Amino acid sequence: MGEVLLEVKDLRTQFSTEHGIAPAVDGISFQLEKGKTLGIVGESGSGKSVTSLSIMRLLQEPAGRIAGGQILFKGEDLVKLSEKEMQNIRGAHISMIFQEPMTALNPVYTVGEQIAKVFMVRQKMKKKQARQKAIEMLALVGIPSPETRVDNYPHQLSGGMRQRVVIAIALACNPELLIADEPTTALDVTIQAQILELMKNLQKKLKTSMIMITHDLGIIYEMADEVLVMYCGQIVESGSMQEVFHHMLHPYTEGLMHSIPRLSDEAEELSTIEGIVPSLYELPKGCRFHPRCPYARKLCQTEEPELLEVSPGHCSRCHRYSDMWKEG
Amino acid sequence: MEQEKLVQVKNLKKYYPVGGMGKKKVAKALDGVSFDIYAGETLGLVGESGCGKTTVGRAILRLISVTEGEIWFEDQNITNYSEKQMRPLRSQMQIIFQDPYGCLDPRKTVYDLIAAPLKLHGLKDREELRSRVLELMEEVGLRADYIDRYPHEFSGGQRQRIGIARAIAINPRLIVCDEPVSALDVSVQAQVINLIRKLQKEHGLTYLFISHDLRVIKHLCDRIVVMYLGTIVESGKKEDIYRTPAHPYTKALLSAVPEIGSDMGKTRTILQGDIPSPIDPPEGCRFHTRCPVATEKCAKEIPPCVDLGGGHFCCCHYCGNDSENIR
Repeated sequence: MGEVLLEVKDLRTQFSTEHGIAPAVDGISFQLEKGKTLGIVGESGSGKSVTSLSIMRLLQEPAGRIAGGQILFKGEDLVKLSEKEMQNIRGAHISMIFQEPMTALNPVYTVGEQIAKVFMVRQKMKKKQARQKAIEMLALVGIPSPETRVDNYPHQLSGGMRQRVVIAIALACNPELLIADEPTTALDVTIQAQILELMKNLQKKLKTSMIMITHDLGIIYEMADEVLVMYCGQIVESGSMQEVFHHMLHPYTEGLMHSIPRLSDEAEELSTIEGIVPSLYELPKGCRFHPRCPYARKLCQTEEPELLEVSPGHCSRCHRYSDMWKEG
Repeated sequence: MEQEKLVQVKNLKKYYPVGGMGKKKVAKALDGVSFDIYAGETLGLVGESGCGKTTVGRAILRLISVTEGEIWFEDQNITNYSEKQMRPLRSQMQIIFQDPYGCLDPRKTVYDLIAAPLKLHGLKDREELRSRVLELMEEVGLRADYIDRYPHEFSGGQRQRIGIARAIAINPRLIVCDEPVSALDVSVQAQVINLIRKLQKEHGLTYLFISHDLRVIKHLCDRIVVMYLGTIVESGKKEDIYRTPAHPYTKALLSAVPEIGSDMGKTRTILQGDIPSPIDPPEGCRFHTRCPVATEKCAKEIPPCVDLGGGHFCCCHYCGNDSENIR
């Protein structure tokens, strides 16, 4: 087992709203080893993005806050850091790529200025040197003729190019951890293929660890070493990519896999997961998935299942693997 | 057997003026697109942003005017029909939009929303209206007690069901589905796809299904048209397009889809560069700037549309039988 870079222990993130308290992330724990990619998959409202915002400490306070748990980054608990201390972590040690490359960039600065800024702030470089470094970064992320592109404004670039710039900014200080939140969702499929390829190559080159958040199981399959499946703020299944995809344990994972139409599949009807994701304010009692679960029994309506290690390193939050189930 | 052609699109062109005053530039959103939609089938229109797929859908419904070319619906040339002439045809052709948030009036209840097309087409009796609305709601899988609720009380999938109920309310023949499931979560997406399919069987609907998602298109469509930058690059039966794609763009598009359980990722053809602007599209074959097998000829000559047999067409200089050695 490699060196653990990030360890999240029982993280709880809540949002207080006019409807009450929404437990967006409700007690999740996981580890990320150095150089590895962790894929987090889930639908809207599963808490996958809030997890990443919690790690970056970018929650909109005071509405959103970390209510409990630890985020240990190289042994240091990020939850306890002050905003100022956190600023030294962001960008330098942990970076983030957002979904929408247009809103992640500032429209009134050239892309060169935005990349150079990172070097000027983090590494106290002079303007000229920082600009030179910005050009190098643009070349690294595969932007053609970086010497001229450096003076472009974001609107002059295509969606794919902008996402490359965002990646350049994120990787500028060679962070140890890169969090990518749906980095290709806004892009066309041929451009998505380019960006995923770029991210894979850069990861190999720079040995960055990565958390890849997406709703697309196909992307997880290609990119991730380890997988977390989230539902209603909880982890419902976790394990290595091979294990989760080939020996899935949780009914929700099963449902997700079967509801995607595949290129290699000729089925007439897609199997679906009945119903919709419940609201965080009215979570079902017992197992959160039970109203939609084809296997649900009485037990599931009353008892909340725990995340059980079913086989080494492969966990599932489902009663079917508990002793209670076997007893009937 | 000769199938009925419900819609015929002939050499359709749509140019948008751009660049403001004085400059005479145009964006060629569509540049000579022709295809037929047979009654009862689902025709898939697939391509990336800016390929013109949405423009085609809107043009067929005459929601936008066209620069050149013809649109035939049943046996009428509707290309230059006035609003008034279109009126009786509107009940025959409907649309389901991508964004279930933007396309429903937030101040109207489900009843108002679904009853609106019925009222427009002459149903007046209140009792009858209500029972018809309830019938439609059941058909698309909405609970009857939702009838007086407002759109904001629903999830994306349920809103899309309302949109679908509106579209099928007046028994149209053709429904243009413009990315109807793209904004939905996967588990809900599957429900809506199954619904769209079920309704087709029950009502004998004809669909023009527009999507960027090759997985969804494969699942739903009988025939497929692949577009790139305002032109058709390949068209044919689903089996032909997915099993033996002929155009290098179709091949790249298929290989770019991240698939579970496939090792395609390792041998993927990744297209270089971006989609060019429709304002200044490349000369010759529009795809040549990104094509992995382009030659000098491709930069100069517009490729012919080659008939590969069985209704499979491909617009490429090198997709005929005699070109195997070049590949």
